[in-house]
Amino acid sequence: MSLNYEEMSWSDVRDQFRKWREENTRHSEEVVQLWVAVLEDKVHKTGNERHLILEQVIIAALDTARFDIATQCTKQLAVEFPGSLRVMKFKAMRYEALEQYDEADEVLDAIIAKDETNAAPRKRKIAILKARGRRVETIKELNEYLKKFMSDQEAWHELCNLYLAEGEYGKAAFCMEEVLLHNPHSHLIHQRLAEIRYTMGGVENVESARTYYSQALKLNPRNLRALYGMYLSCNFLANSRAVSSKRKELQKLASWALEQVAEQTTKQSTIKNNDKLILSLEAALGNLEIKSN
Amino acid sequence: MCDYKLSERAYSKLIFHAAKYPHQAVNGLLLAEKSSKGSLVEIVDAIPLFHQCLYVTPMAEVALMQIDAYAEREGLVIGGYYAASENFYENQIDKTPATKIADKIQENFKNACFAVVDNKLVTLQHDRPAIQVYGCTSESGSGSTRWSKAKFTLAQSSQTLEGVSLLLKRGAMRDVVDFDNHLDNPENDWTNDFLNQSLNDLQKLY
Repeated sequence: MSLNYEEMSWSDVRDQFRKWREENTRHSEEVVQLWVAVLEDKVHKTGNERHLILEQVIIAALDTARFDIATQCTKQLAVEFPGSLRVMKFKAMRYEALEQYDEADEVLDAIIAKDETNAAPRKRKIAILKARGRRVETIKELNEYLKKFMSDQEAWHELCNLYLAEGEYGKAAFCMEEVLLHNPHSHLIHQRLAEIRYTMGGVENVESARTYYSQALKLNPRNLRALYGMYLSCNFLANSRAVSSKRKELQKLASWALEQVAEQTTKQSTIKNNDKLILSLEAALGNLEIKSN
Repeated sequence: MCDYKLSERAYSKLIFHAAKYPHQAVNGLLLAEKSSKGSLVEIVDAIPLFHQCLYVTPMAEVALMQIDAYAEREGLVIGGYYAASENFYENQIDKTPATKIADKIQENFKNACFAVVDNKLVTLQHDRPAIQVYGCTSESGSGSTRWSKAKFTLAQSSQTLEGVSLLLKRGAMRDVVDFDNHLDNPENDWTNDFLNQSLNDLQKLY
């Protein structure tokens, strides 16, 4: 998405920032560019949103190593809110961005000492451990954190990713199930959980994967990953020692899934003969089936 | 063990993919010419695969099969795997994500290579290629494949590095498409056909 900086007025930029804040997406480079080009001079016009925008710009500036902008904005906030723990957190994040992890840890410990119920500095400490590459310690600390702040689904998601990186698929599945409890209607979480189960392998796990994939498809019939996953799991189950009646059903499901994939992809794909590529899946996996009629 | 030669197309797609997702791990496949000239394997193209959740297998299986068929059609073969770690300082091969895929590729193509992106070298001004290439030296019968450093050259090295640096400065990496993008929206073309022009032509576009 390329944004035309010359045409955007400050209110357009403000709306765009709001959209990115709500979606919680990472557009650090664009935020910084838009800030410098448009919003910096006009930010006093944004009223109550000003502080949220300043925070957004600080984080984006730290992400893109624009420490001058980050320091300037942090000063503005510090002047308005002296002694605020929220502003202190940004001071710690600046140390973190400069890779001065020990200083950052000190500031964060000070914040935690002042307010034990504040979740944000604890998470930053865990992020520092991750940045230092100490994955095992990170997992341990994150587990401790989750014992106290059990409903933080962002943290469960992060723990899931860490376990996946360590190869602990069972524990990763547990974490993802916690995320699912908070988002029972999210087709993406169902699909992610299915992927983890499929990766674990074995008939039971792939059965479980198939049910999660079906739920994902019920929630969003156009989820391409779920369709592919459905195809893979049905094929696997059909070729394992399944009862013959179930086998026919699974094969039908598998070919339905692959047809859906082919239909959706070829309608929009710009790759030449994409359907042939998809059919290659059939050739690779389908040949394994033992014909029984 | 062979020496490897990377084309500018493969190198640029690889770097663009890593640069497009600076905060995440990425991986992808390398396509090579079928017949190696003596002990030189020519890596002709790169197909970016994923930038999220690299450790789960179903989409990787789907991608590998489709890309295998695609490579067959183009007269190429899957000749390698590349990956970049999430952590800036990790550039050792054992810390790189999803090495199992590389092992699998090596089973199918004896001279497969494993390119690990050295994150520290992916800068706006490339002095030298930002990758380390490893080739396989497994003795037959041993359990796991052993990867060791291999010699590689970049086609037209200085021009390629300059061209890639320039395109990075102009933001060309935002347009590279990986398999994940394709799964999100089938309109996205993971063959990155438009990037198949020479670097000189691409520079005129940006």
